[in-house]
Amino acid sequence: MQLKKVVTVYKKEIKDTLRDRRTLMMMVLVPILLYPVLFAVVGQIMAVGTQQLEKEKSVIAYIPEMPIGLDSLLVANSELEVLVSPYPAEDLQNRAIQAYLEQKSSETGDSLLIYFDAAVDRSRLAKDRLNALVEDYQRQLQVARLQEAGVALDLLEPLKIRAINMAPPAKMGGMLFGSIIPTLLIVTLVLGAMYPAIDLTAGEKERGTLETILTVPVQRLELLLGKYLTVTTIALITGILNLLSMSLAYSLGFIQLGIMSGKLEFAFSPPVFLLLLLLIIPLALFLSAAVLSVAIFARSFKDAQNLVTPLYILLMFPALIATAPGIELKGILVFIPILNVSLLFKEILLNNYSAELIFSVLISNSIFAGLTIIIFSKLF
Amino acid sequence: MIQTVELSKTFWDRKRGEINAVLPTTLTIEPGEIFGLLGPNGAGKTTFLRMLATVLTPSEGTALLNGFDICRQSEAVKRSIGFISGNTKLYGRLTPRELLQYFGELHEMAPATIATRCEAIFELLDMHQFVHQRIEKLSTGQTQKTSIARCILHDPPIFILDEPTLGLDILTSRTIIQFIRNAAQAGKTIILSTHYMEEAEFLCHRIALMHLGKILAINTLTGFQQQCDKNHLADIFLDFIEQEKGEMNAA
Repeated sequence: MQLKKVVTVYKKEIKDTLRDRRTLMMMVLVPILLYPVLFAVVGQIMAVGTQQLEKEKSVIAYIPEMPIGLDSLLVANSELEVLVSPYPAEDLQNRAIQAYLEQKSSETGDSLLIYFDAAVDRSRLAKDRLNALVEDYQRQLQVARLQEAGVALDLLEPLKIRAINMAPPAKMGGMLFGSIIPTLLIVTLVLGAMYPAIDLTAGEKERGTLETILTVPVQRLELLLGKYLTVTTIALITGILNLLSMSLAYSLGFIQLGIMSGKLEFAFSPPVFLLLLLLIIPLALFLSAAVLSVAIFARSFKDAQNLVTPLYILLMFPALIATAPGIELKGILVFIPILNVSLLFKEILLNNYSAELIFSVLISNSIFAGLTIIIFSKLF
Repeated sequence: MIQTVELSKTFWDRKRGEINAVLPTTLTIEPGEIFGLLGPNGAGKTTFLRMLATVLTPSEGTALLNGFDICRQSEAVKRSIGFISGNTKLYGRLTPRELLQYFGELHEMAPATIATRCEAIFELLDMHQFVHQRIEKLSTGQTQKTSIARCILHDPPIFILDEPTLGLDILTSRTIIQFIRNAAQAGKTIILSTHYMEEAEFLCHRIALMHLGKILAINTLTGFQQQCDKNHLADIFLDFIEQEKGEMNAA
């Protein structure tokens, strides 16, 4: 094998690929525009929806008799609209009301029941509002009764409990984005690798250029490595552009996260960015080899798309597992490709990583990338 | 020089079973000779040429091209040939100049040699007007000229040309035919397939008539004319096919 020929094939494939509009779209437009725009639009819609919902009055009803004074509190509350409903259960089902109250008496004492429909946003909001109002009413009753009995008020609450979040905004940002970004990054890397991989394998067969190149003195391994390096380069560029655009879009305020805004920070310090870049390299090597090994079997572009789509879903699994609560980067998980990168990504953003962990993940992914390349070269 | 020894190719098809695309063929083509492979579609011409070009592995037999064995020395064979067929398409997103640069580098030619050869070929094939345009934007004739340029860039001693003038206008055809004649005069060994009878008549030194994977006869045009007592190659070819059918029916 001659390295010079690998470089020749690589240079030609890069030039050829960069002149393909579809690849450019996937490499530049999708990572730079799609995700930030998606986040911005979804975030905006969610914010507007929440604001709209909070402006609306919750329509409620109650079954007489209510505890003394509670009915007037309900009527007087500006967030509630009280309706008279002879059949509140049916009205709740028909969404004519969003929640209703009923007092029940038993030998153990009186209880107040709030009926709502947990599957409906407005009904859940009505329940929260009623809950707050009823708790307030109960506290007033307790205070009045304690005062009547001449008992000190702090008897009820000997300790005031307050939870204080010690995580700085950067760590909170790391927690949230550490779950989202690896998944999006894997999607972006696979999308970035997919078009050039298909174009350089099935595309060559379809266009009849593969036979041309097979009549010149170039070994199949030289050809394969040139193509593989091209796909990896494009996937890497796509991944890096995606990371940069997400970071930039958040710092410029394009991405709003509703109530979380202001409590989160998301920016890469240069060392963190370099670490993430270091992690993307073996990931891109592995994903590119995986996509190429499948695309090589296809005879046409369409055929290749049909083959690569199931692989795409398969590759997403480890990334999705990494978002499950309680999954941590230890034990065997350190050696599972994609999953380990996704988890390490999160740990790096949370500033909770060690050189040993990074080394193990890099080695594991590099071994898997190497194995995939060996299998791929046998198939080519 | 090209020498084939019992060279054959058999394909396996799930529905039709074993298909003898090329029956065992032994022939020799000398340097400076233009050897025509004449036959209808499906005769096995392209399969025969693809085996010589090392794109297909023979089922049995072998061939020596410029002294190199197609089965055991494929890389040396590839250095010795220039191959064009309907399946050897070009990279549409490159320009002819970029394409030649790429193939020159793969043939391990020095940069200065590539530049000199490119200029000479552009002049020879009258390509200067379109060398900086993307190949996907070129006309059929311009694309075929670029294919020829790609094929002759490394100045190989053997040319394997599968229907080199198919679908071309008269001017481009004439340029390519002139190039083939010049190459033969320069001592190159040329094997070409065609189903244009007139082209074979005025261009080839010897002609092989091929039908259903079998070489029915090899002769010069004059030799065929004397053998069959007919002037036109089309009539001679039909004679041989009838004769072959008769033999098959008798068998």
